[in-house]
Amino acid sequence: MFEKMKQVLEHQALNKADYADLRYETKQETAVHLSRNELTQAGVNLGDGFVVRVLKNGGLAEVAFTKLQDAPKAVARAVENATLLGKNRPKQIALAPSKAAKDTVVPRLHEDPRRVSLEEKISLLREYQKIPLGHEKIVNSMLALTEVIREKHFISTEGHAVREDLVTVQLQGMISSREGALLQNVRIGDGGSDGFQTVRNIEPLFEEKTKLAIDLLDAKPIKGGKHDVIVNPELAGVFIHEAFGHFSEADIIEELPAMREKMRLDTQIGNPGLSVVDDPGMRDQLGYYRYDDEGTAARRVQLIKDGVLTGRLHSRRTAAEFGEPVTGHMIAEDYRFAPIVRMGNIYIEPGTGSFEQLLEELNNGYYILDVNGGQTTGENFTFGAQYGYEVKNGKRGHMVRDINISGNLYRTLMNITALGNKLVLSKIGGCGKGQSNIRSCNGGPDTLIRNLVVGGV
Amino acid sequence: MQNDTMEKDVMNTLANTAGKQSDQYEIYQKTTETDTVEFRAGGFSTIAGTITAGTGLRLIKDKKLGFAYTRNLNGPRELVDNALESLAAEVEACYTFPVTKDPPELDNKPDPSVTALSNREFVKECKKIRDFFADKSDAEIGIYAGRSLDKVMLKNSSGTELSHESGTYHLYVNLVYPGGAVGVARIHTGKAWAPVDTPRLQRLLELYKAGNTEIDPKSGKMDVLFMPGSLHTFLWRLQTGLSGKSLYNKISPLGDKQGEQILSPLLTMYDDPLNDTLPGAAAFDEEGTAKQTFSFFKKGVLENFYYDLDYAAKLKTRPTGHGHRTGRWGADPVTTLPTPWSAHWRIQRGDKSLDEMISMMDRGIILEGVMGAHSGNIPNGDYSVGVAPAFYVENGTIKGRIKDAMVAGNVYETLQLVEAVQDQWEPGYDLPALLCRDVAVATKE
Repeated sequence: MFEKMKQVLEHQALNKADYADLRYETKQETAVHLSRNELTQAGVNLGDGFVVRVLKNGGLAEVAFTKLQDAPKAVARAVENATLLGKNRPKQIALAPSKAAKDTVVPRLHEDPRRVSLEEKISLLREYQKIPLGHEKIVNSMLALTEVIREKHFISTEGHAVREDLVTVQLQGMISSREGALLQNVRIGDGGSDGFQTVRNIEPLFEEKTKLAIDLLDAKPIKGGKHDVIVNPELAGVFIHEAFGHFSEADIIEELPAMREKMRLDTQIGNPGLSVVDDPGMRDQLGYYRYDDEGTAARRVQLIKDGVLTGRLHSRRTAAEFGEPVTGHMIAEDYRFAPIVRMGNIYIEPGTGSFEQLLEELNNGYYILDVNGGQTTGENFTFGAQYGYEVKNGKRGHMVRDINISGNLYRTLMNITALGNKLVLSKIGGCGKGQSNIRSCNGGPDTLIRNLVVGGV
Repeated sequence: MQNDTMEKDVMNTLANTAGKQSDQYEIYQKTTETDTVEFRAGGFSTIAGTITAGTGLRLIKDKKLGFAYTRNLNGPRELVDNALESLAAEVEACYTFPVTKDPPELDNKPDPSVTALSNREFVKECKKIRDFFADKSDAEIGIYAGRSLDKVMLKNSSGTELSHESGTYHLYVNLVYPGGAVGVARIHTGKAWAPVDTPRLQRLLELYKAGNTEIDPKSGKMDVLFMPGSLHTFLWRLQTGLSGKSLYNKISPLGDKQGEQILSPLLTMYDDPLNDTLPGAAAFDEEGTAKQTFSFFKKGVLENFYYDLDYAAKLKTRPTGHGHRTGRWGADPVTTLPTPWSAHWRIQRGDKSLDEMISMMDRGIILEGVMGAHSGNIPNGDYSVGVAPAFYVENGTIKGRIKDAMVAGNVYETLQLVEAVQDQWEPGYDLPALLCRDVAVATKE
């Protein structure tokens, strides 16, 4: 494949370009969808395509195309666009140095999903489905097993030649319970980057989520207002990803002068007890990869240390712009997209407190768990939580539902006053920064946050 | 022209091969070319393009479904074989691909002014907009300009052969409050290229300036003016409630309420796919069923649920032309199976101007945009969204911009308390603003 790709980069329109790269990838998707006992989709499919990027006279432009015969047109358009961009920018775009790696990376899979038949996958889902559907109050359960196998080839005019395969398995679903007019939904999910075994033997998870869906029918709606809360590791991870992590992606703040000032390194951004890391190199975790989609080797970045901003995530372009080292965080959803700066495995480093100690420190407030959607706009964030418990005098009380939390990033980072001692990382991802990233992994420990705006229904 | 002929030959071969191997087949093909220019506060940031194509194939044999797709239709045999292989999973398909002859003729051909648009023109327009705002405000200006040229072809074994071409441009102008990355935005879009008019930019500037003062009102129930940019909060929940899929899966709270008063009598909602003065008009859905103007709620009374072929068959009713290859976040139509979706949801205009609606507010907020519309218990109609941003109003006057607040409720309750509906649609959203009473707003205070 590399030879065919090199021919594309030999196009004469690139003779006067300063730099060009080309990514070709295939994407094999297996999907099994089950709605109650009815199979609504099952099959394996393959798509493929290219993305060319050109740097010329200080402009960097990209074109995605799916047919090899469109390569000359795509290259010519990328050159034209790069020239136009370069002419109309006050400052020329440059690329920070990236070692021209030549490498092939194949994931370490404990059980290769390609060796599990479609029939077995369907059968596994049907077995899981029996658990929620065995309860009278469960009116529906929808499950979707998705496997995505990407074989990525990357070359550049600087000599990069990297092939890396990524295998992702995800089982996601929604269990719905009903009593009279009240309907409750509970999300369920498991999976990972290291093989099919991640979605085997998860009956206890189905039991737990089924019970939760039923229990929520008797839960009380949470009272809106400002509360102290403990968020569980899943919510803590989504918080750090959505509210803080996106601002450590340098392409988000690159062209926002005031945000750049707020996110200056060495700024005290959080409570002194807070440390945050992004590390794509954590093997077997969902966000694992060796090289990003610019062919740069990924590395661990300490984003916050003891409340002080110490690092950020870069592309070659933003690393040059900020005068900071490359980090290898340029990731594309698939062959239809040019890469953008993204998180790999981002997490809040655990503290020392046991859960009981956190409850005691909270005293009065809420313990809220599991994410139910989330979004950030600028420095403000909003997340839905699946369920929670009222906490009175350090003791867990009745269950609450209909929970959304909202806040300001900077105030919230300062209001994190205690951290549990157990780190948990997510098994399924789905960050939607322009493109979808199913490998986006986040985590943290149980986290005590003061003065959070909680909007009940 | 030579390419078109070659592609037609490949398509015919695909149809012949698929026809011999199955009881029914459907070929869906889409090609897209896009250009995008992005301007951010520091200057032009990105110019990007796509040239993509793809073919999806559905086969039905012995009432079982086979599905496959490809990006490069070089070997039709391989695509058919992949679809045949997936038959083994035994996904039931108890429907017939539709016979759709002579659908309404819509003026959808890409206008020459859009076909001829170049990125140079977008760069020029972005500069003009930047210059308008540059010395009038401290906003960090974001502009996303682009165009899309699409071609869709659909052919099935029932004899339906449809095609559709379209061309649209868009300009999204966002004035961001420095340091927060939250701003006020407007969309300018159309089928024939026209630069943004200055009065519209002026109105956006005035709105931006009204938010320069930050304000922290007390929590409580108050008037909320839901602007068109926040209405997807409601529409996603209503779309879920009225979908034939939700009905079939017994997760619609509206299941047994056809003919009942569900919303305020001020609200009439309908699907309007045939209005070809707006971008996105369509005479048929993405599985070939003819589209029609279709009522959801008439004066608040629930009239109809909507269906694709599959869920219509499951519920023993007629498909309504709502089979779309999409999802809430959008999806690649080539790789996605159709599902019930309403793509042209409109709310009938009311009789109050925006200024009149604001003057009706004693104490409340104007909700420009939201965060987290997708979170929470959507099938039940619950919502709880962060403001992004909102403006606080007292005695009919905007007092400033609120941060860190949440608006929460249940769509079926909030939309019973509609006080006024705007007398025009906001361009780009094609929806009016709605003023609702007694909505819970949680703030820092």
